Amino acid sequence: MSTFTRSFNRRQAIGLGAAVAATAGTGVLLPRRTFAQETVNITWATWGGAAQAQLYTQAIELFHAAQDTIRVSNINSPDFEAHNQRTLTNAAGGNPADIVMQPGELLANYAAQGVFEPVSSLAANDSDWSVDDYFENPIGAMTWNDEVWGLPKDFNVNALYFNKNAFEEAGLALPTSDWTWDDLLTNAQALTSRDGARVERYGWSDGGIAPWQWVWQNGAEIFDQYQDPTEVLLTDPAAVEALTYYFNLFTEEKVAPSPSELTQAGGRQELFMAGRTAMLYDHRGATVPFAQITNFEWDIVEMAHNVERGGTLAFSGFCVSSGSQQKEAAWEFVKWLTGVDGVSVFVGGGNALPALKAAAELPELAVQEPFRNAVDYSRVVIQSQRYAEIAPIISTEFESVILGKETAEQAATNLKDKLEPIFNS
Amino acid sequence: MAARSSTPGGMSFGRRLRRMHDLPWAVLFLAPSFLGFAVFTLFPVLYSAYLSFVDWNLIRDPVWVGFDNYRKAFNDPLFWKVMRNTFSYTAGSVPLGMALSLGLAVLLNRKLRGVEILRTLYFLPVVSSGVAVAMVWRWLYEPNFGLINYVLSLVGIDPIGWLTTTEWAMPAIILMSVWKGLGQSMVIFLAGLQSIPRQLYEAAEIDGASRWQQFWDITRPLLSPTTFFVLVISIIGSFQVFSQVYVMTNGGPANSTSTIVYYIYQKGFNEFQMGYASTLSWLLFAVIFAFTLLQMRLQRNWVTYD
Repeated sequence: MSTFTRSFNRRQAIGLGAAVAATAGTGVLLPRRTFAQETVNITWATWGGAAQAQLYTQAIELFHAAQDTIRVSNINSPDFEAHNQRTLTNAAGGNPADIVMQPGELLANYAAQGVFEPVSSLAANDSDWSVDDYFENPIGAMTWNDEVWGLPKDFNVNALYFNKNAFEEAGLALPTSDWTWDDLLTNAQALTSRDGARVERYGWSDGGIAPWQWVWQNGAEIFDQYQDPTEVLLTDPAAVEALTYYFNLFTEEKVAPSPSELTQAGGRQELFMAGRTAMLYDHRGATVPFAQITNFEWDIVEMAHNVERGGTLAFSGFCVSSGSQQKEAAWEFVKWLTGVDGVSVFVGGGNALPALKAAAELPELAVQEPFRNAVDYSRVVIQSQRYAEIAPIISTEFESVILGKETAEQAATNLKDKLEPIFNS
Repeated sequence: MAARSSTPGGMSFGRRLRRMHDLPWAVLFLAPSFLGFAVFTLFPVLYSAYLSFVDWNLIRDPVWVGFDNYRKAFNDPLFWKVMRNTFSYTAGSVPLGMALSLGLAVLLNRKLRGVEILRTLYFLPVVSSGVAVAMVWRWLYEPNFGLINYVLSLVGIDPIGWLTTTEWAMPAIILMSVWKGLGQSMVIFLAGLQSIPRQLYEAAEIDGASRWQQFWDITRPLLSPTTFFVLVISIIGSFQVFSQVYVMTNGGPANSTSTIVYYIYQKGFNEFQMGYASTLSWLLFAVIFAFTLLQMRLQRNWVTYD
């Protein structure tokens, strides 16, 4: 027996086998898999239902096909609440997702606490990318404290959806983009149908408590500034007039379902699709489910106005976590997601409006005129570090008005009294 | 002999030695459950006590604020409102639920055909998913097209805004909760009823006692330990009501159905005020503890253990 054979006992054989297997696993013995050494794995946290999740998968597949080095895993939560909880707990636990999808309202909250990496640092040595590639509104919405905190995925503005059959059956002229508040109210009254005390169809809905655009449409302001406001301006007579007009649609005119009714009925879009609301203020994303409507025809015009036009701008973007160990790869993926290829995935179905100028020029991403026009006069309502704290206060006050527990003027005063100490604390 | 092996504690040296020998085994077998208890119960409880004295939003480091969170709670009008709502819920759901489940248990304690099927049917809501049940009830309560308002309209009653008005929202949640929890208390009452000796009823019958007299003089006192148990767990459960509120109303309209646990959830997981949420949790613990203690004291007056 040779020395080698003697010394190469069973235990050593097993050890060598394991070592070979482990080495093979890392790709050392398999030249074909050498790319695995360079592969960077990153995580991407999002939220959305099954249809949205499918878009995320599609985006990842396209990105993987486009390059070899970065591999993305999606962590999708079914709704924003769950996503937000996950974002915060992961960040607190020191294990954040490399990229986080972030809606506008809470951006300031996270940015102020250093959860996200500013784009100026990510793009410091990146000559491929320029802030000028994006429309001013959405990139402005991703900005807080003079820093851009992520790239805009897309954004949304509102328009008036209407059930054409309902108008024709009622013998009413179809809405136009020139409508004023009074036109909206008159038609909503005519379209609301009742069977005794039971409402069979509401004339109009906006999906809940959303009076902000009405305040702007009446030439008033909500806060002294949208980023970290210090003052509530809703007690201004023009703002009170707008709030009163808006809430009367629920309380006096009873042409709109209350938020609680909408929750019970399954939501604003479901009510419109069932023909139980004749008109609806909603964003462009509603065109996707409404494409399934077969029992009536619908169309879109701009929202009604009063003294001037006004609309709210909703947005979300992709932010790189400051705690990410793979910031470079994450930035590459964010750029791709918000570039023409990524935008085509998200906006292609008609979910929103492209934030990227180059994407907006693509014929397949053409946006309907009412939405295109609304971009010019739509704004972000608020970006505050205290948003999570103030949101329930606002909704409770407005709900009290809808329930007839207080007037719009009282709610405006209460909001001033309750929010300003929070803003300034 | 006894002097040789006895110790001052009365235990023989041999037994003590055997016990010492068994100790490592005892520790080993107890360790998994103690570890689980320590990690998942003891530590979180102690940590939440610490958190109740800090200001912490999960990301920034906790800042010690002493009793500020407790002072904040006592000055927070919404805290008092949700406490009132929780008491209203308890006052509505506990007596109604107990009375109905006791009545049902008495009815289903008889030898009837198909009684097992009925018991199963009444128990079914208990094992059904709370969220699914709440969704179904949300539809039943729908003001314009819901089944309940439709039935009421047949007898000329106008639609009621079950979940859309501050007056009806809490009663609607109580009604649904009573329906859902009925089976659980019913089963406990049934077990209690079946432990009462039949001879007592037979003797009472021979003495000419009516059904009501039998219930009042035999069932009521002998069932009192069971009733006490159901009362305690029902009150604790009602103070912790959450899923119905979360799914059916989100605490609305205008916070009229917001309960203390829902408020804790909101503060902790929507507003990320972990310190304040922990304070509220400890206040809830204090209330439940006080109520349970009170019941333990009062039970001496009405619970019969003989």
